[in-house]
Amino acid sequence: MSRAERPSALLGRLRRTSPLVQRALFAAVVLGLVSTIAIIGQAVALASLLGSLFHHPHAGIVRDATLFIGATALRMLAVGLAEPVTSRIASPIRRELRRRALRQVLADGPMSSVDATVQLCTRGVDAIENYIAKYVPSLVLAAMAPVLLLGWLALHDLWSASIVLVSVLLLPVFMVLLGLEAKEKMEQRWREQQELAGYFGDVVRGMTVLKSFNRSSDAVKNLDEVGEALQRTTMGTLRVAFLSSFALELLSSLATALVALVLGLRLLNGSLGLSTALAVLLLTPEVFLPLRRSAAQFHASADGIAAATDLLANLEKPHRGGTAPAPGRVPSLEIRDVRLTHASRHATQNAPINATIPSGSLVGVVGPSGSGKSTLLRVLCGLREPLSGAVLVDGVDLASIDLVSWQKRVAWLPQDPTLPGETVRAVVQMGDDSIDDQSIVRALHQVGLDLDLNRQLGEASAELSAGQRRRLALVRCIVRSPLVLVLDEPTAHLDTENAQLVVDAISRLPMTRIVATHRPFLVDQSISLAPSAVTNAN
Amino acid sequence: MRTRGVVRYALELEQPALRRAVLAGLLVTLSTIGLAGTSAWLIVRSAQEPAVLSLTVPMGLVQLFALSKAAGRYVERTQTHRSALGVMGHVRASVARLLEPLVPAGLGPNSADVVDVVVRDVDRVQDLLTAVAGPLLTSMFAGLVAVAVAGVIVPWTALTLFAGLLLTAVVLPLLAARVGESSANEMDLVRSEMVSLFDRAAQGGDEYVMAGASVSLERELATLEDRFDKALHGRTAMMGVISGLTTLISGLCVIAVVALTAVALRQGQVGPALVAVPALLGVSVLELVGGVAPSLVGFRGDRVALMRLEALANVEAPVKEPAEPGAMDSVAGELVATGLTRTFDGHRVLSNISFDLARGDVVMLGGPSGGGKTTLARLLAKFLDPDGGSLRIGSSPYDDLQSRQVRERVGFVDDAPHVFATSLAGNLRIAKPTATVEELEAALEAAGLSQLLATMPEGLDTQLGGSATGLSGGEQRRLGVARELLVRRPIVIFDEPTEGLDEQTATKVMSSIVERYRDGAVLVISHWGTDQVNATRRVELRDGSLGELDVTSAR
Repeated sequence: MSRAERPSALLGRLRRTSPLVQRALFAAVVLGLVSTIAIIGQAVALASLLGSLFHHPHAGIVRDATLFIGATALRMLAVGLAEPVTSRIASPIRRELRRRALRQVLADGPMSSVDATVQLCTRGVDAIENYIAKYVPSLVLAAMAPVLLLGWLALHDLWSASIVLVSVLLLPVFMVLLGLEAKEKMEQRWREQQELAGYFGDVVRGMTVLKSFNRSSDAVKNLDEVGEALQRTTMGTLRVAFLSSFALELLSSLATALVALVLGLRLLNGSLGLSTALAVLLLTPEVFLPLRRSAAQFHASADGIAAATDLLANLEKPHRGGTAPAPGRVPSLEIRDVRLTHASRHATQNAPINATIPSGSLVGVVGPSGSGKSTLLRVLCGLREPLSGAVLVDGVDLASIDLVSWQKRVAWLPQDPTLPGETVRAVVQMGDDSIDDQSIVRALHQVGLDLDLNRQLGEASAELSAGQRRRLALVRCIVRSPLVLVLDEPTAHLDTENAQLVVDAISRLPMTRIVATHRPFLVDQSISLAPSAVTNAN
Repeated sequence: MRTRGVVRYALELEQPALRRAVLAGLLVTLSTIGLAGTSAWLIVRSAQEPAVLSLTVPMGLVQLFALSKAAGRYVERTQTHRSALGVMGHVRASVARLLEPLVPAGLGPNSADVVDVVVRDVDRVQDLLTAVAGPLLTSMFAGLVAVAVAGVIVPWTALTLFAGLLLTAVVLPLLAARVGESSANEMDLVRSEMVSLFDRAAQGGDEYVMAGASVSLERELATLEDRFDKALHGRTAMMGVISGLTTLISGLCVIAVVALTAVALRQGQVGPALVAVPALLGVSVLELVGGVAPSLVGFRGDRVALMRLEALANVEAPVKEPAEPGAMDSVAGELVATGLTRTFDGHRVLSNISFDLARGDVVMLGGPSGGGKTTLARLLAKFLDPDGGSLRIGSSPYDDLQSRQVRERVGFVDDAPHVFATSLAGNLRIAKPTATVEELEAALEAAGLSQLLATMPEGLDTQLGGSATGLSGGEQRRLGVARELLVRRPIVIFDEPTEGLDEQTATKVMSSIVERYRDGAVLVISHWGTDQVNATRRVELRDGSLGELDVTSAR
């Protein structure tokens, strides 16, 4: 996880992502303020009722009771609507973020490791929604509701208002005095707890491995010990970590007590009415409530902040690709001074690759494992950018061509195809209903596969042999009638007879074909890759 | 422990801290209502303008309650967290201990999924204990005290407050837990389907893009989001209704208390000084419990999680362990299986398999998925007992040996060995804690991972697992192979060790493995009858039966 940034800056970036963020915030804050106003109404009406009871004048009782019930109804509405309304406004934000995350993943591959990316796009996006719909409004309310309440107090009893104001202002001072260490300790506690949970997950998920090496009983015993050690060391941490919650509680309850004392003394000398005094007493603790609520959500928000920081960093990356139109007929390709980075890590290739591929020709890419064959093919597909150099399509730099339309014209057989879909037909169509049965049958026949289109294949086509899977993936390429065909090891896992069938089928196809292979292949030319030397031999 | 249940057992272990936490919680809630009650009394009494001295007691009490509330809160927070930490530590250890004998064969066909559910369940139990059980318990008790005090002042208000508490602290939470259940389940379901969608996108994204199928993934996502939104909006609507009802009931309850106090005042049953006390007690006590109910919408899932954990104790262990270790030959003899049969849920996975592995054997085991290859491997490594037939190693029958004894001789690397959240070296040393750096490097090299090591930013010290550095499925498998090569047990079973490699490299890795087991016996499970290596035998499992294959007709 990358370093979290300031909430205000983050919120600004989220707001640029969607105008709805502002609306969700607005709705939540307005409803929160309405509920605060209703609370003031309830307190005033209740205090006035009790005052009337004390003084025996019955006039106004009905009015006060009606006001109380009215305020209760208003509060009920505000409280009841808060969750449903903000969640309805925030849902589209979540959907939009997730949709963009999916597009980003599809366009640029996993953002970090596959697991982390999946986590970020699922639970991470949920955490961002919570952050927007719950934490930020609670933070804004923590700033606005006390102001409203203090305003009312100041209008009716300056003394109490001053006491409450001083305690509220003391709060940050206290927080700073003991807060820095407490905050650190709080985060340490949080981390330790997460670590224990992580360690537990690791032990139970890895139980098979541990058992296999007869290490499982050690690990379980260790889990006990780690838990106990953590508990011992954490007690010290906890004592400091909760000092801030102690300060909040102490200030709010002392303020209430002090207000009660001052109210009592002023009632004694007759400078204040009972109803006002009671209302002030009822409202004093309410000033601290929003502060406490937002403090309680601090950790839930940390997940949201981390996720939002990570996700936005990825979503704000510029999109690759240009605007030039993709070719309308079978193109020629030129690979000019292309250098590659290794598929997933940092190793760089030494020598640049150069090759000219005429329109409609069949070109082989050969070289030892790890020399960058698969990476070069991905570059041709526009799935990756070369470290340096360029690929020219009919003389036009691929980087300036619109990627989506280029990729529509290129078909690619990856080294390890996943083949999603339940039936043979679904695997080949892969969501494209315009591919008809007749062309699928023809392509299956071309590569020597005899499969019923309705055959159920199980998850990721596990029912098929590796050789069958490979040929089915090739069929998926052929039926799309591309202008360029890019094949990574089309004959892997095939026996000699079927491999020959596939080789013949590929040789007869009319488009520009680039094939990475270990097998001798009848090609027009081959590009041979080696970590140090690259030649373009005819 | 088995009969008492893991959570109760853990709670008992942490009793002292829990007791302190609950007592402190009680102090907080009692102080809260004490503060409300005495300050109401103080103010109304002051309005009667008595002598200042007569107010000393309520003034002192107000200060006292304020201090005890803050102090109590501090103790409650620290002790709650301490005990929760302890309880969760014990629960985790107990759950791990329960899982140990069951993994991997005792949890049904989707063992990894079951373990994931268990990990999530443990987290949910933590929420159940800290966020719900504690606050509800202490505020209920404080509520009863408030009801009693109010009852002493104006008897009928006790009944009203009690009814209000019953509704807001018991009825509404129960209702809340029940009503949101189906939407909570649906949200869980959609979440896991979303995980699998993003998994596919992250792993095979390029394939979708190139096949022009990204739109269909987006459509799929939109459908899932629709389902999620529907469930979410149902859930938040419920939460809205429940929190609205809580507010309404509290308000009506307070106004009823005021009305009853008015009647009592007119009849002279209560002095004017106490007129505000029942109402203010009501306000503060109802506020205390008011927040709990809405957060409980759909909470039954968490109780289900608790029950699922407890149920682990009743799962039958897949292996019967003899009480004493059995006698073993000092030198590993051959592994002989006779007439093995294994049935799962009435479905016969293996029938009458006879098989042997002797020194020098390199056996390739092929056959379609679901043909029983993994089950056979688990039987051989004593992760699972057969229903019929027998196994022996040398002269020792498996029935007499503890499973750890068998695994001193027989190694099994499954097709997705776990990568632990530790360094590459730490991951390897799981197999052999004393292994030297040279040994580690040699094992990686033999497993075809020297290239991986070369590109790791911090070499052997690079952190793996979790979200740090991801390994591909093939690298993960070969990490498992490297672990096994460190201990080099006499008999070893590899599940798809070279999948994901190109043929040339696969052949190289396979021959380097076979080379290292020249003194032992190797069984390689392979999806397709691979021709990468000179096997001494090729066999195929199809529909639970073993067939010997002619070496030349493999595939």
